[in-house]
Amino acid sequence: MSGSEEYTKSREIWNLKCAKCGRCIQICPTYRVTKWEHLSPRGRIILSPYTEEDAELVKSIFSCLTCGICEAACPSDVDVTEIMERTRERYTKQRILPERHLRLLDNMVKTGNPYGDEIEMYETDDRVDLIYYPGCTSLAREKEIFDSTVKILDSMDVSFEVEFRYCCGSTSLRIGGDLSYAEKNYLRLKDVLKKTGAKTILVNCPGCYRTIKRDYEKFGGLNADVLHITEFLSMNTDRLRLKKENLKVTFHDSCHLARHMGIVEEPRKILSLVADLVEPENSKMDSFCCGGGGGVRVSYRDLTRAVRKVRIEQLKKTGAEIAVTSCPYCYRNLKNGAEGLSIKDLTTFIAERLRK
Amino acid sequence: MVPEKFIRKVMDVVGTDDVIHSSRVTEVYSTDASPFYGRTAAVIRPENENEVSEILKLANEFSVSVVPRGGGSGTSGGAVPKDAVVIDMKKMDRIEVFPDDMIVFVEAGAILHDIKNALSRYGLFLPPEPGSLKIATAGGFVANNGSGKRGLKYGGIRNFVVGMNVVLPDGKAVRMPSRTHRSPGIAHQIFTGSEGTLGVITGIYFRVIPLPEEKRTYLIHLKKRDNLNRILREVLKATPDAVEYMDSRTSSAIGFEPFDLLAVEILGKDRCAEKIMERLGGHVLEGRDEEDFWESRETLGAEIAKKGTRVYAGEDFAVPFSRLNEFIGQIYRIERETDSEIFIYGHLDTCNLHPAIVSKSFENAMETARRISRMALDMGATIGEHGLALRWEFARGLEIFRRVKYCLDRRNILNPGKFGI
Ligand SMILES: Cc1cc2nc3c(=O)[nH]c(=O)nc-3n(C[C@H](O)[C@H](O)[C@H](O)COP(=O)(O)OP(=O)(O)OC[C@H]3O[C@@H](n4cnc5c(N)ncnc54)[C@H](O)[C@@H]3O)c2cc1C
Ligand code: SF4
Ligand code: SF4
Repeated sequence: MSGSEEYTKSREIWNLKCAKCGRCIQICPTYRVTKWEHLSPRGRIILSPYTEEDAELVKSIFSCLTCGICEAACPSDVDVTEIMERTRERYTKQRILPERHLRLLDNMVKTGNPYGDEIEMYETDDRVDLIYYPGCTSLAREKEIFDSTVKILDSMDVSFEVEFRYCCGSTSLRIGGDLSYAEKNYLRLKDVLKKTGAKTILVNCPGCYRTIKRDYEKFGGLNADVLHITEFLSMNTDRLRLKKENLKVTFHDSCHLARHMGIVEEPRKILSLVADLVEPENSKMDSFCCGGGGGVRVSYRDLTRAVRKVRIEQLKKTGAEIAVTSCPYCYRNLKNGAEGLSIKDLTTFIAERLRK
Repeated sequence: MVPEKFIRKVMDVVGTDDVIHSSRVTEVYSTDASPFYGRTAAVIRPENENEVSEILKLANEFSVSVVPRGGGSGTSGGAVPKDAVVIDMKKMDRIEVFPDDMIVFVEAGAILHDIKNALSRYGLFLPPEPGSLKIATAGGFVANNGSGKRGLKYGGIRNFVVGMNVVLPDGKAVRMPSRTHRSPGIAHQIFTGSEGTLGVITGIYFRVIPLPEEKRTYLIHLKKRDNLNRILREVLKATPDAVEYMDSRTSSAIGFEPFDLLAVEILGKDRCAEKIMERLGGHVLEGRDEEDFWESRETLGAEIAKKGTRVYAGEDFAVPFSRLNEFIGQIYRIERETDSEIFIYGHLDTCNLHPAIVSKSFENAMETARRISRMALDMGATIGEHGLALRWEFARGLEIFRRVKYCLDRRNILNPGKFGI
């Protein structure tokens, strides 16, 4: 091949299995709203071997939403999100980070959670089967999700105890921070399970869900079933006493819940009990990110806003009166840019439709 | 390095947000789907013809080389710059359909898949369709004179280009609009297949045709490859719309029995063609089954890539019909010698084969590609549809190209280093 002598040399990209075919580019949310190739999966993979102080390079690596839609399209099974997280670890170790990311990591050091707040703690020694772990966002920012979950569980006569002392460590893991926060909560939950004899941990947040269910395997795993609230409710629909309404709703799948963890039918099963469900463009495993994932909202708000706008348009196009999601973080992000569309977390939506 | 002053002046034209320089991220623009890498001095994103023209005038003033870039899906390194600034055309993506004339005007950065969707709303279509439909831009496809499926009856994309807007290397914008299905002269055709070396295409007028009301696909399994040439000749007598080929390994990768497979597409109702297909034992696919088959054909590369290190290196060859079987045999010989795995598929109606190399390592894949290239040259084969760019050993008539290049781009501003020039 004529150009080969001058233009080809072996590069790390080939070890990452990426053939540079480009199939992932057009579907990437950050590419879609910017049309910059370094903000696309292929671009990020090409740049992943570097660790340099270069604002655009840092942006390329830290603006990935870790939404994983590129992985679904990639013919070569390239683990884009995994490669991004490993790359971020190198940057984080050298503290080459966007300003607000640095602040977030400092918050983790100071308060143990990404918000930097003192969050209300819950603990129990009582013997119980089910532990409800609400996570930081449901407690510190979107309290109605916590209240609604408690209300639903009570209405179902579920015996449970609330546990929250530490953040699950998800945010730190997704932005390449160290494992210690995740490990601390892992040890704490392990201890709680032992004391209470609980066999199930129930969570609201898909970030907590992935971290506790999958990432804690690194530490040896927990001897308990980890259930997302939508799984739990869909397994127990017979205990839900709900009012069916003549209402059109649409559902936004969180990337973590759908693509990362494969939960797509459960929330739909619950919503169909109370309303008529219409699917948006990009749903289930093809869901389009709300724009807030992967820590992007922390430092690249312009990208978050632009991606969110695309998603909100897709949700609006369905003609639904309400868009429901089952992720406190997506909820928080979507409602900030909803412009006339009502956004609800699934727990709140269901709690409002419980029969007295 | 390009002069600071050039960058500043370019920023005056397109704004600061659409220029990136002095950053590692420009490396993304230094490669495409080929194994080749170059060096990008800056990336510039124009939004209209005027901006393209101003950029080229400045490039002349400062003697800066310029490489137009579309989707970066080329596999011959056409968009790979050698110390040049890259003009990324993807922000120019307007599509306008003139249904009554069956003409579509697109800006060069429009993605082919978006064009297909826009046309289908009017019951129209553009027959040449590459496997990179969802990645490639109209400008890149035309600049490469790409093709894909349906080459026999319709030819490559060249046959559908009836007008064009181009900015010449000195910055002069030339418009050649067309609302007709015939278009005299060679002016716009010079740029089709010029691979970004003669001008920056900013807009293209394609003639398009109505989507057929009926269509079907016949699958013909070949128990013995020896019969391939004879059966292909029979198939071509039916003047089908597309004939795609997969070797036994490729067809089993997408779930068929491990026999060589011919997929013959027939658009519209054609009794004579149907008779021939029946005689050859073709199994008919219609409706959803047919769609599923072509979808799996589109993701073929995907299934293959799962097997190991896939490098898009040297996998596009137009082969003389008489040497089809021999060519396939030689590929398998090289496969054995280099201990790689090669999946052969392609557009058999134009005898355009794609041997996809899967290998243990990058180096091994490159060695396999080199051997295939040498063998192909010996056999009188050439590049089919992916462009010559950095694989110019296959180029013919370079003297004529050099002279045209000299006329249009005396200072060799546009895409230097391609075709060995
Ligand atoms: C998975 C895969 C499948 C493929 N299947 C096919 C197939 O079936 N058929 C086929 O023909 N090809 C195929 N290709 C090759 C490639 O996709 C095509 O050549 C495509 O047309 C390139 O378009 P692009 O926009 O990506 O161009 P680029 O790769 O960006 O550029 C290609 C060339 O065009 C020039 N160029 C780009 N835009 C302009 C412009 N506006 N003005 C002037 N010059 C310009 C560039 O300088 C370069 O020389 C495939 C590639 C891949 C990765
Ligand atoms: S994970 Fe999402 S944001 Fe990140 S590169 Fe892939 S598609 Fe883009
Ligand atoms: S789709 Fe996969 S192999 Fe292709 S460029 Fe993207 S990451 Fe690489």
